Order: sequence, then C-alpha cells, then structure tokens
Amino acid sequence: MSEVMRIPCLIIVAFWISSDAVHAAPPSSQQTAEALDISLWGAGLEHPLSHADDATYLRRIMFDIVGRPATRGELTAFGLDPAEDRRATMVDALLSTDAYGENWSTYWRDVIFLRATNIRANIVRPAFGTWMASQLNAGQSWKMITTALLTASGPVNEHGASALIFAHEGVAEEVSAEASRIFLGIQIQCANCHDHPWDSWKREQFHEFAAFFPRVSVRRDRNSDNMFEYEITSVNTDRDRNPFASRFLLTRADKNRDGFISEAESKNTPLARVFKGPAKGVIDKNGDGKLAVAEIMTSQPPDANQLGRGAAEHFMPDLQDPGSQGKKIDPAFFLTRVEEQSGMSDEQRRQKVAELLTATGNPWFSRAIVNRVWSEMTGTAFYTPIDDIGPDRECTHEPTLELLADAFVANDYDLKWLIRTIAATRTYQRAPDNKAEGFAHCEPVRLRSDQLYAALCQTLGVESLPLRTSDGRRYPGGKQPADPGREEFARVFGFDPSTPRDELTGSIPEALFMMNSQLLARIMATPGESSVITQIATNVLGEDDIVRELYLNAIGREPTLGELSIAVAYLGESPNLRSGLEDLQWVLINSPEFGSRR
Amino acid sequence: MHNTSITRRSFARYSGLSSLGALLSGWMPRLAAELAESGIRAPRSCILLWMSGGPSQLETFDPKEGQPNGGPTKAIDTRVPGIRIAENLPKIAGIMEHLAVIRSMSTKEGDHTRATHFMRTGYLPQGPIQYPSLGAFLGKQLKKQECDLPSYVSINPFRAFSPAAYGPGFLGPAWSPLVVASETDKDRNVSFQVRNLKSSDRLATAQVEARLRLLNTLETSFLAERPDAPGSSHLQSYEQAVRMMKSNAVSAFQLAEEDDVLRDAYGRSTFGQGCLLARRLIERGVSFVEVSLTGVDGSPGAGWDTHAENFTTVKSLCQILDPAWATLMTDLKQRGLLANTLVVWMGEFGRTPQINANTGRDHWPGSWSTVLGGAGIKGGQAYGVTSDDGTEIQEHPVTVQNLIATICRALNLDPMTTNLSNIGRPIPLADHGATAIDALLG
Repeated sequence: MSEVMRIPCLIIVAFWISSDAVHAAPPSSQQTAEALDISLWGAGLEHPLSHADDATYLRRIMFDIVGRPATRGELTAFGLDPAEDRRATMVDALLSTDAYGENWSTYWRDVIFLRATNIRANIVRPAFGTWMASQLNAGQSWKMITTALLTASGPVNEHGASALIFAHEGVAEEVSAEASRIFLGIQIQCANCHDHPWDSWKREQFHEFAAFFPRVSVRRDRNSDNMFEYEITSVNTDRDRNPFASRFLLTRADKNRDGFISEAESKNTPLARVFKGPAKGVIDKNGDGKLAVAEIMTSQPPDANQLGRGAAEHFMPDLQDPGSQGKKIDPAFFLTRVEEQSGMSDEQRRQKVAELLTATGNPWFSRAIVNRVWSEMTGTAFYTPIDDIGPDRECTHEPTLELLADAFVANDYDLKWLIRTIAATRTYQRAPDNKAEGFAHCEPVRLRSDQLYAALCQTLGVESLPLRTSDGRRYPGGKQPADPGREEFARVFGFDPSTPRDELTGSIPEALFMMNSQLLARIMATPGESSVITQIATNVLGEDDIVRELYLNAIGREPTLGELSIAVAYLGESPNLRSGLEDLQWVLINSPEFGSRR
Repeated sequence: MHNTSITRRSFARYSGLSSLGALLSGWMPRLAAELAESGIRAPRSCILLWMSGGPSQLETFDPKEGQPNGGPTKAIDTRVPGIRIAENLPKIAGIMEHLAVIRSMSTKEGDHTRATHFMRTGYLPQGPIQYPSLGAFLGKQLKKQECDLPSYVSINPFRAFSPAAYGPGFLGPAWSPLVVASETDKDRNVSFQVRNLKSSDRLATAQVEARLRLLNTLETSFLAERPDAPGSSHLQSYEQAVRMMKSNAVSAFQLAEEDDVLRDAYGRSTFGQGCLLARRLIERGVSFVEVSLTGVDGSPGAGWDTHAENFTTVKSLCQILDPAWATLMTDLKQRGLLANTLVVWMGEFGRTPQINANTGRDHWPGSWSTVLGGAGIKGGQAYGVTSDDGTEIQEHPVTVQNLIATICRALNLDPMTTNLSNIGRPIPLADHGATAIDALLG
C-alpha cells in the first residue's frame, strides 16, 4: 500500500518554483498550462499541431464554462477582438458569470442523481441546483464542497448539500460506495460481497469504509406536515424504527394525558396525517379514530424489514448465514489503513471521513477531480473511465496528471483555477485533427442534455421548449420545475456524465425527436420577427451570406466551400427561399456537429 | 430446404423502399418455420407482463381458501389436475397446460424502488454500476438483424419507481426501449403511438425526402473533410430511426387490421390491446416486448399496490388480466409463435398473507408467485410450495438470480454470457452463482 501515498512530483514543480522560494505563491494558471504542455510535448518550440481557430475555441469554452453556444453577435465580436490575450480574457469573463455555476451544477446534479436509488431523491434536485451553483460561483473550493456533501444534515429542501446522502437514502453501503466513486474515483463497492477480483481491496475494507455512515438517518421531517419534506439526522443510539413520532411529540400531543391521541389533539402536529391519506389505518388499526400511544410506538413501517438498518454500528453480513446480524465493523479508511476509534458519533464519523478523503496527502482526491474536469473539457482522460481509477489502474501521462493535481492542491482546490488552467493549455487550444491521438487535441465531445437544450433554444430563438410531459411524470410535492420542457427533454437526451463519451452512441428516440418533433417543426415554420430564419433572411443579403449566417447560428462556424455550394444549390431548387431555409436549418440541427463540440 | 444465409440476405434492409416490404411485415412465423425445417434453432423472443405495484399471490396463483389469511378468495380447478388457482383467473385456468407457476419466489426486497430494480435487472441497485433492464440485455442477445424495429419495446410503462430499471444501463442508448404510449379516444377505443415516429403534418413526403437527402449529402461531404467528427454513431442511430420510419413493420401499431372478435377476446382495455400489440410486434421480429398493467383504468401507476381494498381491486385487475393473457397464449400458439416466445408474468413482490385493517395486503417479498410460459418452459406445473398460512416456503425457494437464469435458458441463452459494464468489468446476464431451475425447463 506504500505506493498509494505518492510524494508530489517535485521535479516538474521545479519548473516554476525556484529552489530558494520556500513560500512561493501557488503556480498560476498560465505557468501551470505551460508546464503541462511541456510535460506532454517537450520543451521544443515546434509543436506538432496548430491552434484551433477562434470560432472553434469560442464554441469550446462557451459550452465548457457557461453551457451554451456563442451567439452570432458573440462570435463576431470575439473574431474582431484584436487583443493578443482575448482567449484568456474571455475565459475569465465567462467564469465570472452566474451561468458558469449554473452549467456545472447541472453536471454535478447528473453525476449524483442519475445514480440515485429512489425516485424520491428528485425532491432535493432544485435545492441542490441552487446550492451547487452558488458554491461554484462563489469560488468555493472542491475540498469544502466535498466536505459539505458528506457532512450535511437538516431538512433536505433547505440544504442542497444533502443531495448525495439523500439520493442514497442514507444507506451506509451505497453512500460510501458513491463517495468513493465520485470523490476518489475508486470503485470500492465491488468488495461489498466478495474480495475484489481485480483490485487489492478486501471485503472488510469496504465495510470499514461503510462504517463511517451507519448513523446517518434519512426520515420524514417530524416538524412538517408536508409528506415531501425529509431531513437528514444523526442517530447515535440503536434507533426505534418508528417512522411517525417521537415520545416527546406524543407527550406534547396527548393534551389530556389519557394515553390516546384523538384527531382533535393531533391538529397542528405531524400526527395529523395519520388520520388522513395513505397513512390512515396503518396505525389506527382498530379504526376507532383514536391512536393509543402504545399503538404508535409499536407500529412498524411496512418496508422496514431490512436487516441491520437502524443499528448505530455497521455490520458486515455473514455470507454463510445471510439471516444473521453479521460482524460489527469499526470505521477505517482503506487508503491509509489507520483504524479509527470505535463508538464515534455520526457527526464525528462524517467529519472524520471528510477529513480523510480531502486530506492533502491523499493523491486520489485531487487526481479524481482533475482527471474528471480534464476529461469533460478535452474529451480524453488520464484514467478511463473517470470513475474507475486508483492504484491498480493504468494511467497515461501520469507525470502530467500529477503536475496538474499538485498545482490544483497548491491553489487550494480552486475549480475556477482548474478550468482556467486547462483552457490555457495548447492541448485544449489545438485544432481538431482526426489523425492525432488523444491528448494531442480535443476529442469531439457529445453535449450533455442541458447544453443541447440550450443550443436548441438559442438556435431557434426561443426561451424554452414547452414539451408535452410523458408517462407517469410526477413532480414530488406537486412542485413544477421552472422549465418542465428541459426536464422532459432530459428524459430523452440525459446521460450519466461519468460515462466515457465514446460509449455514448445516440439512440433512436433521440434521432426521432430531432427529426420529427412537432414542436420543433412548428417553431421553425412560424414566421414573424422572433423567427431566426426571418431575421436572417431579412437582414442579410445574398444567398451565400444567408447560408453562412445559418451555419454560424446553428453550429458556430462558417460552411466549407463544398457545403456552401451544396446548400446554395439546394436553395435554388426549393419552391421558395423560406422553405429552403427551413430545410437547411432542419438539416443543421440534425447534423452530428449540432449535438457535439470539437 | 432453404439455406439460412440466403433467407436472411433476402430481407431488404430498407423494406420501405422495397416492394418486398409488404411481404415481410409478418416474417417471423415463416422464418421460424423455415428454420425448424432446416434443423436450426429459431431465435426466441420474450414478452414480459409487468404487474406494477406487486400483485397479490393469494388472489392469483397461490390461493389459501379456508385459511384465515386466505380471505374471501376461492380456488378453482384448472386444466391441469391438482393445480388450483384463484377464481379471479378462470380463462387462465383453461390454458394452465402452457404455464409453469412458481409459488416460491423469495426476494427480501420490500421497497418498490429497490424491488423493481432487482426484479427487472436481476441485480440490486449498487451505486456505481448501471445495470441494464431485462428488455435491454435480452433484447441485445436476441436481436434479429432483419428487424426494422428496436429490439426492446415497452408498452405503457410506469417508470417512476425506478427509471433505471427500464433503461439500457451500461449497454448504452442503442439498447434503450422504444416506449409506446396508449391513447383512448372518447369512444373508449384504445390505440398506440410511438412518439415522433411520423414527420410533422406540415411537411409533404417529398420535402421530408429532400431533407433527408440534403442531410445525407452534407454529412457525407462533412465526413470526407473531417473524418474526426463524431459522425459514425450519429449516422447509425439516424439510419435506424429512418429505417423504422420507412418500415412496413410499423404497421404493427395498426390494431384496426385485426379481427374485431379477436380484439374483443383480448379485451378492449389498454392492457388487453397492449398484449395484442405485443403479439404483432413479436411477429415482426421484435425480441423483447413488455406490457405493463398499471391500473384498472389503464392510467400510469402502481395498480397492484393494494394496501387497502385488496380483494375488490385485485378482482377488477384480474378481469383485465385474465382475458388478455389467456388470449395472448392461445393466439401465439395458433400462429406457431408460442414455441419460440417466452411469456413472463411478474411484479416487484407479493403481498402480505396477513390481511390488514383496511382489508388490504402490504408488501411481501418473502413468499410469492411468478409465472412462466411458452418457449422452453415445461408448462402445466406448479413449482414450490408455501405453508398453509402463506408466510413460509416449504419447498424449492426461488431467488431472483435463479429466475433470471431460468429465463435466459428458456430463451436459449447462456446466463453466464457477459457484457462489459460501465466500470470496465464483465457482468453476466444473471448474477454469478445463479443456476437455472431445470424442473421448469422443457
């Protein structure tokens, strides 16, 4: 296990830190980007590949930072900007807009929620989105965000940070598996049932890690009558599994102290719902309209038959005797092998696990996030898949990864710094080149659902797409999201952003939607000032330039000469210009470039 | 006797562009017959009848008449001597020789979400690994290249409990289900449609064709100049989508082509007509079709989740289920499709033998029933025995893993065939250690 805690790669750090500068400022984005390029391509002045043009670069940073393509106006302004450092300036400008945090909060929302075990997790999506966006826009460090996600407690609707724990219902095995996958990139959960066949992890190590979480409790908020309000609490003793009431509440509600709670007494307490709705009859079994205190205390939720749940300690199931309680396990961290004291409270356990995961000496915490963001921006990764890394995995260009990870740590886990740095590398700025291997250029990346939705709206000149809701779509608590069309769109186009992008082939329903959606057809065919086609056809003279504008508007580049002549010939054969332009816009929206960025 | 490869080659790829198309719309039975003649095993298909919410075993296949837990439900004789099922399913009783009832399912998952995921993927939800749904992985294994339709079609699903349990998981979007929604008009006629399958009404066919040609020309020109573009997978999904748009196989959705007597026999419910649609899709080469029974009125939901008024609700649901399923079995049989089509009946769990204060039954994964019939299954048997009070399994407990392995074997698949997961590890169709139940296999 000794190779796990690697000494930071000092040789490369020395590129920018002179040996006598002990308290040197952390490496800047520009310095780090240059060091990264040198580590990948050598120090020679002759780089094998050329820079991408401004339009390609702008499309990249727009999608990568603010989650939408550039408008025609933005493209023109950027192309006309004579400043040498216009690229870095634009990156800084985009990182300072709220759209940056909103874009990446949808990325992290998908990372967490697309693996949620219960549909109920969606309750906390809006709160998570708001919270995550504000954290990112405020420049909160990845270390602090991680700590918040691991230590959250309280009502979930008020604490977006509760997302990770709530998405897995506070179940120790699942929360710990996801924490390891997301924050360390390490898939420890396969050791849940058996010693790992490929890795060095042992089954007991997984359960030691899970033992940081047995005291987390997700339950309905006892102070609320709303059945969609849940809270995360710490339960530090073996808990009674009564879902409805605490002894305190019962004493408070039983005003006349007769040992029964009547419907009148239940008013304004959470017990009120026992008298109505689905809970009716679950507790008041004899149907006399009164609840005996004893009845309430002994009632069991119908689903609470999972063994070991509700215990204040973690138990590793006995595979020979699955019905037994199993072996009590104390928390320990598989990377450091230091055992923690037993009997810690939930607060202590979760604080401790956050410290262990985010410790400066833990290389996997910084490697995982650096690898993930690099992959999202450049389309290639040092480790693939990005959520299956670790000491037993193969890494390409390991010194480059270490260099970036160490500089990221020196910059206090600053995510904006990380994006700025990657955007400044020559690798990121290279022209697309099919002959180049990964790392020599940016691979084409399929757009995430939210990015594609934004691109469609912007291309068609509409604010949103009012799509019809499909089967069984229920919004928890009856709360409609701000833009239901976006949610509906995600049902067809959504995918898990941790999935390697080359595995993300399109689906038939996606193609059918883009080709045949009645809504898109209607928007494209509606004339008037808001119609992009009308605007372009009115303001631009000459079919060549009209075609150029349509291309810029849809896919952020001008057509090639070949494309231009095909398109103009097509317009010439069309019954009228308008219908020809609608056809061309339809073709552009359905082209492979529309749904990706190079 | 035909040479198989020639037979296969003779299927036009774009049947819509070919006069062969009309001939091909129901080619599965002929292909099966030809293959049987040639001694080659015909590809099998699967229909899943999914009972959303968890159906009561005591009011369907494991009645406990005369026991306190049995409630008012009576048992009736079936075509198979010795096998008695609940009175709610008289038509099913009449075709019992085709069915194998498993009365000893034992699964330990009593939560809708987890249980739905478990039954529909064969695996418990496990954070990082995205398991594919049965329809996705069986559809992939059983895919028939000649078929213009996706290999997995889902009719009226209620996905809210566990969306992942209906998805392709790590197999990727190419194996996602084609979801078919039903519509009921004011005369209560049920019809089905695939979203976005038809071009906008605003567009003339010629204009659609012109657009597709322009897309193709520009894409070819673009790919010639920029072979680095993410074109190939894009082309593939568009090719499949266009193939389906133009295919005669979509005539499967025209239920009006069927005889009214047969349509009535299935029942005019969304589920009944869904079962008829399933047969039409299987006929056209679709490998996996699921039909969900989600509620008495056909609306999406968990209709079988009978915490209250269990007996009347289950009775109403059975009035929909019984004619639909029984007619499906006989219809498949008459068309020569039953020998190669497996029909699976199940929900996420059973119901508590004990009757609660609302004359309901709660969630019960301990001892409950599922049913298999058709391809590869030895019908006319009841497997496993529960105690008189229904709370314990006395013989042959069946795990989810072993059920999945049995389903695989019935479809001529090796349950240990693996697919590469999203985390780079091979995952078998049925979990490690699963074994098919030989007694159920014919």
